[in-house]
Amino acid sequence: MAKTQTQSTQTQSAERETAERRKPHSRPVSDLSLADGAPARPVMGRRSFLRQAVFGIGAAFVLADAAVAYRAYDQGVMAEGHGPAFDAWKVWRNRTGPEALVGAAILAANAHNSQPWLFDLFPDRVDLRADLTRSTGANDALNRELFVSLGCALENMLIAAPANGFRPELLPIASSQPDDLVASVALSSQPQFEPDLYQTIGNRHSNRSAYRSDPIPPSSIEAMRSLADESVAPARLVWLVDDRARTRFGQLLVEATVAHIADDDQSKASFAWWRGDWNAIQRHKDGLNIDGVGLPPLVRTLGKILPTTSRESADQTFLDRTRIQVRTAAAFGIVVVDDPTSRSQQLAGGRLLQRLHLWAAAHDLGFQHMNQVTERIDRDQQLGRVSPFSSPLEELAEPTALAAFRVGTPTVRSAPSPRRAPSEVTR
Amino acid sequence: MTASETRTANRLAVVATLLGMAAGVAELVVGTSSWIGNKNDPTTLGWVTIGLALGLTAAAAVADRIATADARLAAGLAMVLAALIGLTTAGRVWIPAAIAGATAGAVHVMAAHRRRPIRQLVDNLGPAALLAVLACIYLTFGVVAGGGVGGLGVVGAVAVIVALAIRRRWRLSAAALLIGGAVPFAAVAVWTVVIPLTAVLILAIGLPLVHPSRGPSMR
Repeated sequence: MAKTQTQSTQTQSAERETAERRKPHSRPVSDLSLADGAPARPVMGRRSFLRQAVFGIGAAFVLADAAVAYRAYDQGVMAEGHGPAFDAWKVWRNRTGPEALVGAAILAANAHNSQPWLFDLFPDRVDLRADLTRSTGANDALNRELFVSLGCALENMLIAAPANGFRPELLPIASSQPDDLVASVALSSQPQFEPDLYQTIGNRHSNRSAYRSDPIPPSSIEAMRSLADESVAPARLVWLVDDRARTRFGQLLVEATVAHIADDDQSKASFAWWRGDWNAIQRHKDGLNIDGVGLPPLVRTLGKILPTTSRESADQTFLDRTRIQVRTAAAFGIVVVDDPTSRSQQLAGGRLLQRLHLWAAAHDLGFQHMNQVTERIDRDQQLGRVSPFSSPLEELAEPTALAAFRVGTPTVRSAPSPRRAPSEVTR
Repeated sequence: MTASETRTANRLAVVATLLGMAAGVAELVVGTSSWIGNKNDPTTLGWVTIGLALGLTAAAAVADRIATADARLAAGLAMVLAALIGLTTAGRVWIPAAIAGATAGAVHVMAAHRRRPIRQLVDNLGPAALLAVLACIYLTFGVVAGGGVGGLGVVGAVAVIVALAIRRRWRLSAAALLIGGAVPFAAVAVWTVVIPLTAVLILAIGLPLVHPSRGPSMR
């Protein structure tokens, strides 16, 4: 029996050892015990502690990087020009018939990217209407820029018509027609051909970056001047290319910008069109955003990742950027008409502006509409006071200046702006 | 992991995949809808949702095939993560897939814990998991950017994952893959801030991982 008990004990011990060996990676318990005899907890070695600390720090950095990455992704970093808001630039040549003209028209330059247009489509006609709900308020107190913008859209339609096999004819607008009807373009068939500026419609973007110091060649100045032909009469072009005129107009622009941001209504009206995050850009498909400000890529990225800008901060940036833009303009141009309050002449001026902008884009020149001065003149008129900007502008151009722009060789590539699809602006 | 648990986890993964793919297809077909999270770009996110759904089955297959505690933990966590991410890509329509996928993932995680304590598993897998997260950042921005630049991001992500997979057997090649995968995309996308930051972390975490020193390291 003693031998059996011994064998039994040995067997149990062996079984325990086997069970212990089979335990996956069981941690050895320190044989130290506390003074009162209670078993001590396992002690972590220094190496193990350091290893886990290093892992923890690494994990914290990766977590921070992932958070920044998410913010960047959510704000459209590396996605500039992508998404439904920018599809209009990619598919504008895919349409046929009168809708093709709308596809071109919606890519036109326009104030604050407000896209104040509506279109009625007929088999042989396209009507262009003003969407007054998209006025920029105090920023365009007398709707001057709204109708200039419609002129830009009209010009794109007229350029796109022959490329789609249409001969366009501008019909007179009867006084009995609704007030919002701006232009009626009759379409008849003709052999298809592409006017010179047609292909550039999809590449024309405002460039708000600093420009290089290269002067504009006189041949370019003359070529752009010649774009003001009979078809856009009485709109004509005044160039400010000499140093004195450029400097003086630049000063006026800065002073007008200071006045703009000091005017609460104008500041708010302007900021209402600021799309501060990627979702807002994709949702509204209009307005201005950080990609269009002309900032260098790194600054633009930081602007997207950091918290959304406030109106005050946006105003200051507007002023700072204006100073850079006027300082680096190779030349300023001012479109002049006989009566800047006439809607038909605003349309004509808009057509000339769009033509100039397309020409500049076709020749790799930067082009930016700069209308702070005329905006202040209209705002002062709305408020019933004499504008301090009228006389200085009259000295530089003519008393009937309609709109202004700058040209030059850009330092940063311009980005496409979001656009609503034709289906959203066609009734 | 018992046979019953394996069957349950696999069935849940398949169910999650089918439900997830249905959610993705719905997003592609229906487009913007409150049920699908009112996304601005439902086409892209619909495909991402389908990808996540397929990833659930792929993770379950890896866990089943390799069947080590490490693999089960990694697969389980990947399934839970995919289940959560799908809620941001497909909204409410993904919820059934999320429940099934997260449950399947939890089964794998618990099975892994029964074999070895989670703490040890994390100790082994942690740095590799961090690198996988960084590779996902590269992949995401590579897909977003598109074109040649985006291609560098996608290739870089694949290179990091391959480096992880081969690091124990071919250390020099793994190191070369880490450097070759991380640097080019960071160089062309230096203005994005996040890509060069990610590249620095890939090298800081990955190179010691493939060339462990005698001193304390993340391994």
